[in-house]
Amino acid sequence: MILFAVLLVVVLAAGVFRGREHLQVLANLPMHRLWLVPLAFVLQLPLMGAPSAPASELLWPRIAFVVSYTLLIWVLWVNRRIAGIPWLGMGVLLNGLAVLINGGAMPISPQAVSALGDGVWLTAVHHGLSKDVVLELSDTRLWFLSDIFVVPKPFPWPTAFSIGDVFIVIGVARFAWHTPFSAMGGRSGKRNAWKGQTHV
Amino acid sequence: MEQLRYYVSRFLSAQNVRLSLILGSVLLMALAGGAPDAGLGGG
Repeated sequence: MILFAVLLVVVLAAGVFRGREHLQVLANLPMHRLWLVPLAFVLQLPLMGAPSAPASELLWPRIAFVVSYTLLIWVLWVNRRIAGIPWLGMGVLLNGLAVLINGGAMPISPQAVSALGDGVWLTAVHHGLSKDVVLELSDTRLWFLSDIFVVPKPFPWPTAFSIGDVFIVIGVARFAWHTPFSAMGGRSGKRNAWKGQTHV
Repeated sequence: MEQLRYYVSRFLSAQNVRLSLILGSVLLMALAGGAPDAGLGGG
């Protein structure tokens, strides 16, 4: 959850340091289809709630997981003119690609899992209560998009993350920090953004 | 009690609700799109 903590700090810092007017601007951003976001999140719960098991036994949770990424990419696409959303979208797209091409879960190598202090794992097994499936790097398609970055112990919160996760953090930081005027994606973006209503 | 009602009504203003929904949705997109590997501590 360390990246979530980073995201939360970034958003709170933006609120504190950029001031109330900045928050008012954020509140009036013309964002669309946001009601799909909780739906996408709910679709991930079957996989994230599943205990460790061979990935082949989790067909429907993996399908729901891929559908969830499709919904997220759709929401991000329709909101692409807003600051930070292209970065966020690129991160979700890269993660979604790794998930889709590897059978519906994010691959992580047995070595990475061991480095996190989580013991020895067989391959092709869903890592319980996570989005990950344990796969050897040599068996992972587009391995460079998987959870290859590891912050091991003695870091207090050992973490594995992907290049897509890095894009996501940058995207949220840009969203929270930039004013829509400075980063609304060019002249047309500015014009369109302030024409629209806020649909949540 | 009056003061509490005042703060609650201020917090629940349309502007604040909209801000919470937008920020919450963006954070949820970030989480669903990548960040939380619950069993692995982060990611």
